Amino acid sequence: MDIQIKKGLLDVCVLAVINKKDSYGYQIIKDVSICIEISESTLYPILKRLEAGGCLSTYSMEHNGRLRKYYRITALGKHRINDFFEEWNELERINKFIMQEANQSL
Amino acid sequence: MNSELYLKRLRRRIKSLPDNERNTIIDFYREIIQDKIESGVSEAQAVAELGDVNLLAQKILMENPNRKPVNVGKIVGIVLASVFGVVFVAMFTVGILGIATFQGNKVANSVTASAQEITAGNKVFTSPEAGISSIRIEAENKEITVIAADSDDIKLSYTEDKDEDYSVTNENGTVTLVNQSHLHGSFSFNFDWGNHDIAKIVVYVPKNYAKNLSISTTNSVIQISDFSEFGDLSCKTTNSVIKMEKVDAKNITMETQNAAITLKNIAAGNQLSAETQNGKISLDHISAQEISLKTQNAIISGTIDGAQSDYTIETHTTNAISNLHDRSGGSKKLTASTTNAIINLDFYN
Repeated sequence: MDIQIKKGLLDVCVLAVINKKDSYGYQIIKDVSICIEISESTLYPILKRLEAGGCLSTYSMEHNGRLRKYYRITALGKHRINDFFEEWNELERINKFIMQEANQSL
Repeated sequence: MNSELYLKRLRRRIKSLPDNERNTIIDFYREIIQDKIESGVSEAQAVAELGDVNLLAQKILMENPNRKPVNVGKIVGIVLASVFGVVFVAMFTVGILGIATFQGNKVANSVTASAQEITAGNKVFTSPEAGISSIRIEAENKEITVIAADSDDIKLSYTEDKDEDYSVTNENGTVTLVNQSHLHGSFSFNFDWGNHDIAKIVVYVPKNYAKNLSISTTNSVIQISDFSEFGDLSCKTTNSVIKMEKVDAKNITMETQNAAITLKNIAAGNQLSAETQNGKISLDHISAQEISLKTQNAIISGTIDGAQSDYTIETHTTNAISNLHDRSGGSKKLTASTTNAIINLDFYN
C-alpha cells in the first residue's frame, strides 16, 4: 500500500481503537495489528503526532507496581474519525468513477 | 539481550534529542517490553522483537526533529573566547569593498590576520556594521544563533573541520557566509546523528542593526533574540525549531518543516509569516500589520497583541476546530491555517 495512504489510515485506526476504550501502547499495537501491520516504532510517532494535534490526551495509571501510560481520545479526535468517514464517502465516489472509466477502455 | 541493556544502548544512541523527549521514548519502549513479558513472551524475545538497536535509534532520530536547544554555557564560552581575543582573524576597513574568502587556513589578501588561532578550526569573521546592508547565512546542518551585541561590529563565529569549507564574502554591502560539506551524497550525516554535537554558527549583530538578515540552513535550530529595529528578517530551516524572542523588524519570514516555531514578544511593522508542516506554532505577544500562520499537522496557539476587532481574520482548518471567527473590517490582517489541528488564539490588550 502507498506509504502516505497507510500513514493516514493508521492514524485513524489508532484513534478508532482508543475511541472504544482508553488504551496503552502494547494493547494498541495488538488491536490495530488485527487489521493492519504496525510496529512499536511506527506507533510512537503516531501517538505523539495525535497528542500534539489535540486528538489524544494521556494519563498514567499504576499497573502491577509500575506506571503505564494510557491514551484517551478527545472531542477533536472523535471529530477526526468522523471526518475520515466523510472523506471515505468521497473516495468511494472517486473509486467508482475510476472503475467505470477504466472498464470502458478495457 | 537484557532489556535494560538494550534501553541503555538506545538511550545513548538518541542522545542528540532533548532529555524529556528521550525519557518519553525510553519509557514507551520499556513499557512495551514489560507488557510483552507480562503476556508470556520471554524477555529476550521481547527485546529481539524491537529489532537492532542501531536501526531503531536511526528510525527515531529520523522522525524526530527536536534536537537539543543551544547550550547556553557553550555560547558564553564562545563569547568569552572572542572577547579575550582568541581569534580575531579579519578586519575590514570602513568604506572599502573587500572580498574575503576563508578556506582552511588560507586568508585572502584583502584581509589582515591579527591574532593567532588557538582553538583549532575556530574562526571569526569581523566587519564594522557601517556599509553592510545585508547578512546572509547559508549553512548545512548547523545550529545558528543570532546574538544582539553591544559592539558596532558584525561578527560571524564558526568552526571549521576537515569535512567542510566555509567562505565569507562581502560584495556590495552583502556579507555572505556559506558552508559546504565535502560529504555530499553520503548518508554519513544521518548515521552520525547520535554521536556528534551539531556545529554552531554564532552571528553577533549590533543591537540596533536596522538592515537585513537572512538565514537558510538544513536540519538545525535557529535562535534569535533582543533586536529592536531589524529590516527584513528571514529564517529558513528544515527539520528544526525556530525560536525568536524580543525582536522588532519590518518584515519577518520563518519557514521550517518538521518542527515548531516559537515566538515571544515579536513585532513586525509590515508582515510576519510563520510556516511549518508538522510542528506547532506558539505565539506569545505578537503583533504585525499582517500576520500569516500556517501549519499542517499541529496546533497554532497563543496570544496576539491588540483587540480582535483590529484584525480582519481568515482561518482555514480542514480536520479540526478554530476558536476564531472569520471577520472583515479590521485595519490589520490575520491569516491562520492548519489542516489537522486546532487553532487557539487569544487577543491581548
